[in-house]
Amino acid sequence: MLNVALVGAGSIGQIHAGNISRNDRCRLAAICDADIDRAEGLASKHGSRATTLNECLGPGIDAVIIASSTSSHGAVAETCLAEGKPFLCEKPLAGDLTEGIRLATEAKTSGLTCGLALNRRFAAEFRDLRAAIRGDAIGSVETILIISRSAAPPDPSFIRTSGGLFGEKGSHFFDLACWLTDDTPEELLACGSVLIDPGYAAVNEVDTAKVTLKMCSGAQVMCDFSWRAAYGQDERIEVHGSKGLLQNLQQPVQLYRTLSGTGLHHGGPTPDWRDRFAETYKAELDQFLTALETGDLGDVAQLQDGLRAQCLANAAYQSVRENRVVLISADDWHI
Amino acid sequence: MTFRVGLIGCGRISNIYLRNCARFDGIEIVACASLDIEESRAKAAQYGVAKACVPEDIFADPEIDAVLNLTIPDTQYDISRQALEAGKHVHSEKPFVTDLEDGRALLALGRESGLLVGNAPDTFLGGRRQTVRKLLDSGVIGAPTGV
Repeated sequence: MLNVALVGAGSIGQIHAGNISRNDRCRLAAICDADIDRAEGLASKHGSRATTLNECLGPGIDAVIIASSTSSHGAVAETCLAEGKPFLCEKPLAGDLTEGIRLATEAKTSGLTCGLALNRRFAAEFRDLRAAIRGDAIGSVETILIISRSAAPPDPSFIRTSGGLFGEKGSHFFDLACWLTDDTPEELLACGSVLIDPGYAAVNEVDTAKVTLKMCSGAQVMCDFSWRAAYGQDERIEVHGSKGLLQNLQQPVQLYRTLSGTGLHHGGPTPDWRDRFAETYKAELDQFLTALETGDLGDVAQLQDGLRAQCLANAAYQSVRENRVVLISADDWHI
Repeated sequence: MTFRVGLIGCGRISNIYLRNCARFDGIEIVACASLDIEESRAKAAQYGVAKACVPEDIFADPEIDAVLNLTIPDTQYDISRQALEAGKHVHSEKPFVTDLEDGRALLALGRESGLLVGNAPDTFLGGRRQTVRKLLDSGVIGAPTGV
């Protein structure tokens, strides 16, 4: 039975807490949060104990899940490394890419099992796409179309402290594009607008964007990102290859048309990312627990994969700002 | 009143125009022309068009109201210009012209002469795209954020 500590009792922390306490291979040994009341509330809900960060990294703890606020990831990861604790860290590893590279290099040297939480890799629908590509179902990949639109836009004041459209949302799909193809981008071009809330413009953010990646193989990836989908979380991937086409089975969204031709109708609850990807957090945790035993992360993203996704998010901002193609070098993220 | 059209350029795309024009009232392809008169005759015979000729005959025919220009990109401008100078409306396949200035000149000529100048693509007139446009105009999804 592995003793897992959770750092961060916010929205993602709550998801992890439930999954850790329900997984029969581990127990939720300790929880800490900058807000002690929040930590205590979550601990009592799961029969755990709220404590300090130091105690979360103390003797008897086998691994740490880092789900604290984005700006604190780097410091917590650094402390984990200093204490010799393996960790699974929510993205990004550190707000600053250079700092992330330093930490990832340190983690690599330490030999500790450290992963980055890019949970879309554990969605059955995306795993099927990858298996089909690797099984040569569609020949060589030429084009990938990715749509990700969120059920509800995040508050502009939150987005300022998280990764923004390209960091918070984009990095998942930049990583998926690489993971699906076992390839990596060499060029990026992004175009962004503010169409949902002028508050995004006030914090130098965009809420609607297209990002094109040109992979080293020449394959092209087109991402369509939006913070809004009035009809529920919409995530679709289409992969076009030399021998055919793959599409993920989009879970039904609440938008339909009538055959009588009276137009489009909307009704019922709109699923959000929590609904659609609840299972992925469980599967990711389970794979991480296995990795703690075997040392093999499997499909859990390596820290370096996270650095690449972060590098691409940064490049997307640069492309929007400078209105040009940004060249991507592996030297920018490879450790 | 039936609008009388002279078709110039008897290549592959002309078959679609000849088939479709037959379905519309108010428009009739009355002549087809090609630089190669044999090609003109074959096309006229195939679709029951009254007159097979060369382009100059179309420009000179006072009974013809409009020219349908289906020639190759390099000749699009010359054919359209001659048609307008002969007082005929023009509709042509894409590309309209191969040089932007030529295009501007044609539009100016059309305006000065009171003649219409049209050009493909026209696929947006199809049922599916018109339906999409109708739905967008009715506001079912609000303001479009991307296409």
